[in-house]
Amino acid sequence: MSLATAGFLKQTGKNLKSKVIGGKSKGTTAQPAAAPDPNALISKALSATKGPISIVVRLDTNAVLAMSPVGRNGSYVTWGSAPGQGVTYQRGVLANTRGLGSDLMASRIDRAVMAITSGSDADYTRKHYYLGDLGQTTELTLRCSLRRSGSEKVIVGEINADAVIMKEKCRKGQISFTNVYWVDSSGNILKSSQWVGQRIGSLAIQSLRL
Amino acid sequence: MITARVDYIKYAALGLMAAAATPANAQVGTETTSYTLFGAPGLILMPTAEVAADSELAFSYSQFGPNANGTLTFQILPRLSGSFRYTKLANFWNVGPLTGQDFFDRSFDLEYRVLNETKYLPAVSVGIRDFIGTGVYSGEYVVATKGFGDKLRVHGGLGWGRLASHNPIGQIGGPRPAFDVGQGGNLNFSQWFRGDFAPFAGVSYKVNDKLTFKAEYSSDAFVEEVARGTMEYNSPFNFGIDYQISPAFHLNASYVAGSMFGAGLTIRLNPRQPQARSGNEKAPLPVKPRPSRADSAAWGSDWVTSSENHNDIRKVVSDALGKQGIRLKALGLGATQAAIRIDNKRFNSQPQAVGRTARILTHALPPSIEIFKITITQNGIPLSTVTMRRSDIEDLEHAPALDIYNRVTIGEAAPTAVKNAELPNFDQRFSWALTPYMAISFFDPSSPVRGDVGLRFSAKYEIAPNIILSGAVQKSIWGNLDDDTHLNTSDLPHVRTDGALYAQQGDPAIEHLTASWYERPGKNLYSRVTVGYLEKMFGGVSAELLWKPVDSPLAIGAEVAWVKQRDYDQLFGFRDYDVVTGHVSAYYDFGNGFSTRVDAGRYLAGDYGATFSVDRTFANGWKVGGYFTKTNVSAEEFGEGSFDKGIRISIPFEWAMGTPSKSESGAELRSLERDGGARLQVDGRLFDWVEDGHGDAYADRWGKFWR
Repeated sequence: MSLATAGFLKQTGKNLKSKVIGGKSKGTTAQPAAAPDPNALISKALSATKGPISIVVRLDTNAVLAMSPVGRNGSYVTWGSAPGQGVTYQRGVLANTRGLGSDLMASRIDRAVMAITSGSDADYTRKHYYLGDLGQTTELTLRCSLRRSGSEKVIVGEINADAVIMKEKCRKGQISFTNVYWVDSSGNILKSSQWVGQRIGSLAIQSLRL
Repeated sequence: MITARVDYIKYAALGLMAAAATPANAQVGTETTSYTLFGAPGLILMPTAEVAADSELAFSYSQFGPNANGTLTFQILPRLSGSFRYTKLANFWNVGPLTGQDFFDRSFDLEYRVLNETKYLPAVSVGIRDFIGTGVYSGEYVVATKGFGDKLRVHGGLGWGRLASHNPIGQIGGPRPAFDVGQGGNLNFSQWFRGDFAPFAGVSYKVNDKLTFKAEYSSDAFVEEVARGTMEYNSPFNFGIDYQISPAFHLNASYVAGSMFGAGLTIRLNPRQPQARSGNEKAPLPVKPRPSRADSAAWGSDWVTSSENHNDIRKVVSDALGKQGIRLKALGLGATQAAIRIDNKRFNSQPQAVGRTARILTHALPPSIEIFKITITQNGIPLSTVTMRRSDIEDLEHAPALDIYNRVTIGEAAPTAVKNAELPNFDQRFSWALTPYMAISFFDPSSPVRGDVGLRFSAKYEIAPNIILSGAVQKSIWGNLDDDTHLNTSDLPHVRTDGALYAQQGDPAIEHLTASWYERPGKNLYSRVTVGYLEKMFGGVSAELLWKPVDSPLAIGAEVAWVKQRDYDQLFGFRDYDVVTGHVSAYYDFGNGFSTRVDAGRYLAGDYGATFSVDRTFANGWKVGGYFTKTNVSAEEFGEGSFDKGIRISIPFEWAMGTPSKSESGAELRSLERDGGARLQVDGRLFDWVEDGHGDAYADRWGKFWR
């Protein structure tokens, strides 16, 4: 169990220790995973494992992580990277992060998850939880609106499917962000750009194999 | 065993609402990041009504003409700041036996914001400079500051004492009364706001976030320095710039008194602004939920009858915890319950260590186990137990930390020390280290800073988890602690003032060599007995008892020791002096970030008295505090400073580095250590580490449970 996981991570770590610097993506709605020579990276990642794998890029720095599932608990799946970062998704929607520094510690996003994965327009609130500077929990409640904005075919790695594009705009005072999701007909999020928090900014997440 | 539930809701609310309820919201406005040459927020030499951000701690060093200042300023409360300063006035002595020598002095300042700035009215502050001590800088002031737009501020005020030495315009209560400084260290209360007063004024213009220009009309005429011929005074106008290199570092430069250039460096730290992003440590192991209840084979409890299973589980858990910097001390398994005792060596947040332990248990324990009882121990002594349901761990892994907080119980641990037979890692009881050390001695009247660096070899052996042999030997490589040729004129037994002799003759030295025994004599009780060479200057036996309920803000302790003074060579011999010393201590946590402590009893020189201290503590482990000791030793007998007092600061490494660490960097600045009011130093005093595993340690840092 844990040993097997650790072994796996070590193995992918050797294959995928890549930190790529590339053209800077502008804004959170830009096409995710804009790293130089993405094809080499993708084939490397795919050959590292037989199971699900995704590429995660922090848009502010273009730091790239290859991640694969390391834990499953109800509707939550936690993905891990070889260097030790973790991202948990609730049916593909980012629920919390670990090891990025200034992490999103937890969230209450049930309404968002339901609307995004069903591809339907909706308005709702999201609650995000962070650690303040003294280590205390702080809560951020955002008002969000989710709108369908077209459709597109997603062809990357072993993914080849039609997807609807869902744009989610959230705001609380000065803080605002836009998340974008490419959702297939079964409700899988094939790729996305999702906001973590004020200090980390957004992550571009690209599945290579579901 | 059912542990009584402790109601922590009040703490929880405090922790969660911190963003709304702490002084961050009680800000008083008109803040500045720019400090004077004297190291307090303000202009060049003159004060303003500006404050620093709440809880900002600034270290500064400046020099102008013959005058050098090292200052520590803390914004104690949003309205109240305090400074401690060490000053050198070069070539100050022009007559007598000290002719040509420098003058060193310590001083304390306080400033209080009386009125906050409004749309039409300025902010007003009142301050007193150098109010205990020998009084070279003594002066009081009332000052107002008004901003015009975001960039320009105009300041003006009236000063007394030294701040009325240029062009006074009036007088209160006749001439300023003389102050008998005696040995220093007394309040000059009778002088405050008495005698001449003079106006001062200034402007500051903030060009951008980094650069500030300042100009002032100063009411300090440097009378003393000019009379002694150490500087020239041509003008009351001073000009300066302040440049922010980074948020923590400021440089300033100035032209003072029409005759001198001045420069200074300020380092600003704030507990609320960590130097590094927190949470860089690796992600924790995800919780592993149990299989469905329908899988009755997996949920069976037959495993419990095989001791082989127990040993396997213990090994797995011990290894997994070891990788997290957590030492497994004991693991007792029943069909439906696991009782685990751990020693957290890494995480500044006990809840983080508990959370990571719970995650590991979900992987290693058979499904039939539903209750986890996780006990934090230190020195083999259980401090508190967190009891939780495994189902809650499974359900709430991705919920906010408060959800699981509301489901667990935190209570006193069963009062029995860990036994050797319980240890899964029996072979890890010996440890040693070879490290460099640095010793610094401050404020000797003739040389303000002395130091010593060398190598230190230390070793530790646990006869049992709660019975520990410990020793350290050190060898100096370079130092000038032993240069002190100051004649020791103390009339009291020389319990601390022979430091130079210890430094001269003790090389190599046995720093300490002790056996310590820790125990839990009963409910809410903790005890310690330490025998051996307890510290550099004393050896003997010390015993201590502490009463501290796990969730109580009040704790009471008592300590007694018989000690004999060690030989200067710090090997095995003793000198003739011995004494029975001891204290009764009360500790109280006000719950608003301040805690206090009073120790009353007999000190090393046989004097009787009490030590009072107050600390401002922050949830992330920062502590800034001060203390003073008054005993039946008179000021004359005590010598310079009149009585013992000091400031202490403790900064957690985690705050500076962003990765988990239990270590902290502590510094204590005491005015001048003399023989009166001196306490025995002994390792492992109970309160410090017992508190670390009690209520507040959980409540304040619970946010990291799932980290």
